Amino acid sequence: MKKRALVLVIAAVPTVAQAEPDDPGPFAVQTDEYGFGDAAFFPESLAGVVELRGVIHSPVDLDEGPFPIVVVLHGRHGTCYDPDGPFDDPFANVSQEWPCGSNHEPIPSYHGYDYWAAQLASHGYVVVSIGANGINAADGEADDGGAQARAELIEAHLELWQSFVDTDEFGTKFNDAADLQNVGLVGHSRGGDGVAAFVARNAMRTEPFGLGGALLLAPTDFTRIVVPDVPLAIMLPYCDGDVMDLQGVHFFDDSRYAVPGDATPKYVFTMDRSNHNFYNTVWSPGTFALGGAFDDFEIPEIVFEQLDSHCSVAAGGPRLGEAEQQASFVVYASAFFRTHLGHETEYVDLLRGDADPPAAAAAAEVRTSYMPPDDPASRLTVNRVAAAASLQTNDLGGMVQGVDLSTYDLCGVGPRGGIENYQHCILAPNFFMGELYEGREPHVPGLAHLGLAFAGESTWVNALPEGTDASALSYLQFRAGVDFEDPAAAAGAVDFTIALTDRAGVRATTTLQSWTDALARPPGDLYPVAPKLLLHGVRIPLAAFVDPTAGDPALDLGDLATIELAFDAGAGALLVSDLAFVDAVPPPPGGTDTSGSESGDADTNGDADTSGNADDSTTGALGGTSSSGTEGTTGPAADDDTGGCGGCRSSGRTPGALWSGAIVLLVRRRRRVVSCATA
Amino acid sequence: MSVVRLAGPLGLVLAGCDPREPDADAEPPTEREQSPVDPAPSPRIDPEPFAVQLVALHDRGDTVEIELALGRRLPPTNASRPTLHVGDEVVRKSRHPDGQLDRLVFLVPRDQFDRMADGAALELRGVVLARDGVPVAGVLDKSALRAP
Repeated sequence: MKKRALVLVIAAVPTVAQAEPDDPGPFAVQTDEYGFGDAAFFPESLAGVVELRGVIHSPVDLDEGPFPIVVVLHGRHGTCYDPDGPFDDPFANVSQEWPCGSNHEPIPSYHGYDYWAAQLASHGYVVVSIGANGINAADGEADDGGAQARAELIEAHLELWQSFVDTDEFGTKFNDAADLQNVGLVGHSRGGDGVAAFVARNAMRTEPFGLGGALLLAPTDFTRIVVPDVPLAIMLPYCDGDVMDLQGVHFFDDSRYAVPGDATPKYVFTMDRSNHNFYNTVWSPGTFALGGAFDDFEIPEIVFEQLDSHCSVAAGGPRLGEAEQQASFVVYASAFFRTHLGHETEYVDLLRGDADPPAAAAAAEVRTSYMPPDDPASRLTVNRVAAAASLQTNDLGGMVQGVDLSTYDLCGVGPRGGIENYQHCILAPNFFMGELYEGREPHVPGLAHLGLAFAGESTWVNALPEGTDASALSYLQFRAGVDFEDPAAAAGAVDFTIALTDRAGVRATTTLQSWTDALARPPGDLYPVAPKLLLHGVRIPLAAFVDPTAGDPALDLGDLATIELAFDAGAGALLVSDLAFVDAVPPPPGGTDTSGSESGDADTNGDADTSGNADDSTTGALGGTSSSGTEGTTGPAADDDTGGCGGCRSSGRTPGALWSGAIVLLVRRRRRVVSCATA
Repeated sequence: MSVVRLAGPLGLVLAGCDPREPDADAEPPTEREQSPVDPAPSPRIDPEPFAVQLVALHDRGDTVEIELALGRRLPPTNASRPTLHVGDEVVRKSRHPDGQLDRLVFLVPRDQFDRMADGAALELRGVVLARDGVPVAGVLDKSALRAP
């Protein structure tokens, strides 16, 4: 959870209720369905027939369009059920055939996302969830698990909508209703693999559809498809009992530097307390009792003959119920598409992990990783940690050192950064059913992690070459995770000092826990499924290092010399990657954003704040900044008239209220007196 | 559609009971199991002894189909991909005949089948059903290959 280092203790008058991404929109919504039979489509890459069927949620008033269109593709599940039972187990009346045999009915997996489709449609979107039972019945015969067939199916539906330009099976109802140059894609599980394959397929088209965003929900990744050049979100349910190894994180890892100049952002949302199936109501036993629905985390419980203290409901684990889990999906899926298809700016902070989620998603304790577009205005990569050489020299050519670290090594890849001869990041990877199994290290193989351990004063230092100028950027960020195998990994969150030094010798510091508690020992104890070594994003506003009111020389962000992660207390072990300065400094109020970020991705951080969040420059100073001209020392804690530092860990967000600019300015003036992170 | 069932206790059965229900044969509850949290009972799938056996070898010309019967229905999931290991040969393509979740037919190209050693064990891997060991469906007996 993002920590806000500020408590607004000043009375303020809420002005306008803040809209949350899961709020219903202004459009009345209608539902339609089309179908051309169970054998209407013959994918070239599959030995089977496939239905061409979809359920549409759209605004009633289609004349307001064309609207962005989002295509949703479910994953692999039972295809048919016998309504007469037997019902003595979830699969007793289920078959994996297509078309369904006599006395069997199709399992309507494509209706499993209606709850979200209706919500998004109310904001002015056409949402089409398509059936893929025919693929599910035959994808065991496909080398890629059916990814290409699913891509073909998505293409067939979009081409169908293309034909709606002139006429459609609903008469003229949907003529020009959907903007096929503003297409969003959602793929769940193997549907995620299919969406990834479609992105690649679409790029090969003579006239490609315009893709505005792809959200892969608990995806499989059988063929390591890279997904560049489209805003990409990966949603990972931590308690996934189907895609137990969370292999879908590879889409983020593999795509983030794949194409130089890739102008699109990428996200990972790790949804704690969530499983694989409950995002689809037809896969959830509480809402679909006719066959095939089950709590997937029971599979590892059975296989490994053990319950998990965190993910097993039967062990009292804090798992979310079906409705809670679906609510968290609505928040993040709608925020993603409303940002990247709808070009709304209100949820940028949420997507980047800078704002706490609204109540509907709070229980999922979402962790975020964010990769900005690859343009100089948005990203200055310092050390991506790509290969063994990254331990000595960073991407800017600066020297890198692990000073007094007890471990300083690379894992997750081979010596040259590829997957040949890759090194595991945990000591005891498991062999499961005769195959090597990376269930506890999802990023492996493929992501290079810097493994470092500390016991006593030690530092990871990245020197920055002369002329390193971060003054036009807003955040220092990296990805990190706690090595749960390290004996020092306690339940509490790790803490350490992050320091920037400029060429004049000014050293400014802040502490990790002033900004995030994401670096805690990951939960669970079901070997070899949990805990999982997942990296999460850590973002620190650069304003946290520059406090002109501190009385000390101000750090010069335009001439930086080093970045340090300084471990000055305790012991522990971390995995780290992707050290960078990111996100263009927003223009002054009334100015023009010249960040170069793609449309719809306008940076709202630090603007005259109308979001209900404290201004970043304000919270930055309040988040534990100290600035000192004395080498190696931490500045004195500021006077604190708030009653102690406990309040500095609280959220400054006030849902449902907007704070006036005047109040924000007042808080800015007061930031000095509530700074306390070094206390 | 006719569904062929193996004799014996097949399929995943719904326990229909709270797994925390006292069991005379069970180990004493651990500290975690004695948690004061009392979640609503969840339908549970009983672990059962896993069994797999060779049913038939079908000659389909360019392809040989190796049909296995499973001791429980395979949940239709996403990440699991059954593979059949016969000596050094690995077969990755399969389907459920007539959609039956307790049957698997592996599709073996003829040249790969010819490379398989007669008498080699038929190992089913890659399915999320059992922790210990690899289920073996007997040995390959090429003399049992049946014409269509």
